[in-house]
Amino acid sequence: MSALIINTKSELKKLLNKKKYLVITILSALVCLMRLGGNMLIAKVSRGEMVIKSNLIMEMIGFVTDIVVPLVVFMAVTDLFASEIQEDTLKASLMRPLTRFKVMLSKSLAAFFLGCAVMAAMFIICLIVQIVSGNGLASAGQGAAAYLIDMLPVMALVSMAVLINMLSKSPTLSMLLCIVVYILFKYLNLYVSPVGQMIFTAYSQWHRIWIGSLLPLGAMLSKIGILFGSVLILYTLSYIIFDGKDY
Amino acid sequence: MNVIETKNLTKVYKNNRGARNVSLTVEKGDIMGLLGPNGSGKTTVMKAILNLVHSEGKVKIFGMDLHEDFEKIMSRTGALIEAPAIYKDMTAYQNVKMHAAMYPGTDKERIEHILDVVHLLPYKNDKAGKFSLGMKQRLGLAIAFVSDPELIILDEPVNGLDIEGVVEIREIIKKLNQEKGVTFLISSHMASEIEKTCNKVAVMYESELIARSTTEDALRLHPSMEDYFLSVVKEKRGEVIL
Repeated sequence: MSALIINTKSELKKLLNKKKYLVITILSALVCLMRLGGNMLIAKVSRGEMVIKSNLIMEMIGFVTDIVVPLVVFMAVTDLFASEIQEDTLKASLMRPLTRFKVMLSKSLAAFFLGCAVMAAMFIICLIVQIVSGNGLASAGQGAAAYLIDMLPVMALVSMAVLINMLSKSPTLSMLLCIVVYILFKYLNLYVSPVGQMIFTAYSQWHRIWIGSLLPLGAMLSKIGILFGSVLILYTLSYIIFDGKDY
Repeated sequence: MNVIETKNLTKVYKNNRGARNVSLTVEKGDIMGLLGPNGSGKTTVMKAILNLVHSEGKVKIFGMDLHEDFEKIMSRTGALIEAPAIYKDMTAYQNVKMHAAMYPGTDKERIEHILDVVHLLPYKNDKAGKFSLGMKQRLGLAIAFVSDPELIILDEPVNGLDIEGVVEIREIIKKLNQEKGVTFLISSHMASEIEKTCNKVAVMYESELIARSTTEDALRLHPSMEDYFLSVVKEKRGEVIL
């Protein structure tokens, strides 16, 4: 167990060593500021007649969970799998005292934790901006809960990205396929009913089911089943491919 | 005691290259040289021993089955296979530390000591991506040595090193073997390198292990390791040896 934790930390360090994740978080923070700026501009143009009291934390959650975090997760998984295969550095992990299952799990966990870290960072940024702009701590508790709950579906995104990385032969193709498949799934979620709701990407904003939801228990259980079932299937398929490969 | 024991190890790639029926034994304290031309299957054998490729046949290391006790085996083994697996975005120190983290008791002093051994201590804070081929090779060796392993598997360890570097690495290998009893399996296509470094030699040719000998015996019957190699290859081909 400790070897798995140590290796997960190592994989996370590898990711944090790359500046691009920090850049993405900063750019996302700028989007948050721009949104606030837009609200202030409206207030100024309307000479105070239209003052938007925004709940920035909840307004930004869709942007964070549907765009920023998937992008970060796809990049992280591609860095840890397809890029390492191409650069021939994956064998360094495979020559450590770890089974292939643990190697793959630690890499997946690192990508998951990075996605969660970016989500947490965005929550904190939104909270600070909201306080500084004078909108107070409105719904901060609810927002924190929503961001926490939305971390769970990141697992499914990681599993999907790992499977794509196992199937494609280059980091560029992996990244491209991750984005294309994700957009396709999102399209199905939005426009093809009811099949679209069976795809796990429909639950990227998982908090909607849990916070203030009036869904019957059966429906909730079915959604939990779809999410975790997807994780299990995607991850198992990925492991079978990962374990069967020569490096 | 046998540190490495393979029985009929076979791994054939789609291009029909690889290793066929390789039965190899490396005893404790040996510096076994795997000699053969490029494409003869040396790296494949090493990769199979480290479970980097799936192979047929039996592989036992420290008397344990490779697949059943992989974690235990790798906790006592260091390796450098093909190009060193180095993370370009990290410094030399971070690269070694990342590997060392998996081995309890490998502290900062040990990491700095091993970087000093391979003459990379002055560059410990430099990004590995900016290193020359020789420096990367040294860093790869530092990673293989840092956990203080009982068995070290090195694939063409002096690749990219200058003459001074080659001699230094040879000295390090001999020192580790003599002082700590570390067992080595080293591959090379340079007969002279095997002659100067190893006490035993196994010859790979066209995916097969065609001869085994102690360096002493090989040199008793032949003027050099090169001649020994040529003689066993000719014998394999069925050519008349003059």
